[in-house]
Amino acid sequence: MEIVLIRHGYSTANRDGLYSGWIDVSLTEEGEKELEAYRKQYHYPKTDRYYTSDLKRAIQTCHILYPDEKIVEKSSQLREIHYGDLEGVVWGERPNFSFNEHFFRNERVYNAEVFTEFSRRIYQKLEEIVWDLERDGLESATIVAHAGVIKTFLILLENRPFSDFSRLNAPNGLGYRLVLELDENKRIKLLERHELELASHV
Amino acid sequence: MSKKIVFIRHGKTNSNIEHRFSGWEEATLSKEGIEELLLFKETLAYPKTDLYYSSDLKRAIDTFNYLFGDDQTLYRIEPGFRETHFGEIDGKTSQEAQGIHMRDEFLKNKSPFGAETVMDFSSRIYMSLSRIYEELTLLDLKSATIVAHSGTLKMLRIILENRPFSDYFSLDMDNGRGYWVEIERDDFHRFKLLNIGDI
Repeated sequence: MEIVLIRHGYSTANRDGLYSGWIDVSLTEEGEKELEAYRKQYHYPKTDRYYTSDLKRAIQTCHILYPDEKIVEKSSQLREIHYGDLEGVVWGERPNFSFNEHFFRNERVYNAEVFTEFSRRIYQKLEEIVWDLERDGLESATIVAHAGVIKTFLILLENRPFSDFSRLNAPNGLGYRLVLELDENKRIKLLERHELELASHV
Repeated sequence: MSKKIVFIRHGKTNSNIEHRFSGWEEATLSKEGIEELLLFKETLAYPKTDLYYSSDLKRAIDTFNYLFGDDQTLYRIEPGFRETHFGEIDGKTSQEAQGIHMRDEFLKNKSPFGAETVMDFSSRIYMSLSRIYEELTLLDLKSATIVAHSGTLKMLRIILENRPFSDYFSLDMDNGRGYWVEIERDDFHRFKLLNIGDI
């Protein structure tokens, strides 16, 4: 089976350097244009189903990249990390503070979500999506979500050190194509991971 | 409907006395450990539960038999509740495994010497807990006891209480003792901790 993970386009919070987890910000005009260009430049594989987080920036991204496709579910389980009291705060205001450091020690700061809560929330949704594909005899789904969601999926599926979170790449509007299968316990096993290919190479 | 789950750590083994890393290696309950269990059986208030489960390692099954074997039988052995797999240092003393900073690596989700990572370990035991919760639901029962290991008990507590991972190295989990939780699941099948207490 194949799962395509796509990060939303450049948002107003990305532009303004804000912690944006659950705050519902829009794409910038620049971000929308970039997605239009990517749609021609990159090969976004067609899939049987399309899922998004229920936040505006993800839904808008899906509409621009896949104008002809219907979203089967806009799920709150696929939202970004909830940054608690940091939501909407400018990153640069806390120069010596690293959210990720606390996050990966599973320490709660600023009432934000902790890693065990977040990873369970999103991984359970991924399993549901894959199980539903299998039940319905389908092969593939696209998930349009957030950087934290995509990177955490990769850490869990590839069993990587937490420190890879800051090293893994999840640029706006792009993502990965995963080839996976279910083992005998219905657990997801990752077989291959590919970056999106340029349209000219397909 | 919520469920009550009681977690008990196996009794003291020879390997515990020798301060060995015992993960998937079998270890035997020590004479002292057995005596302690027989004393606990008389003095500690282990809550009675509908079903009883154990990790598949001998020290856990033996502990079940000493504590509850008189009037209970094991409903099922659940290998998913085994201790962390320590890889190459399994069965070694900390001295023999010198220079290995298991602790730091474990907290970073790294896998030194073929050991299980913290994420592998926690998803394995969380899955086993989900399976037991489902069994209880199907059978319309309310409670279960699980006899397992110190790492298993500490990690489940960290997950259920969303504690810092570093608590893995500071939480107490004495042999033959443990804790109970009252949990329920929401529409997303996520556990919600309602109550927790020591034995």
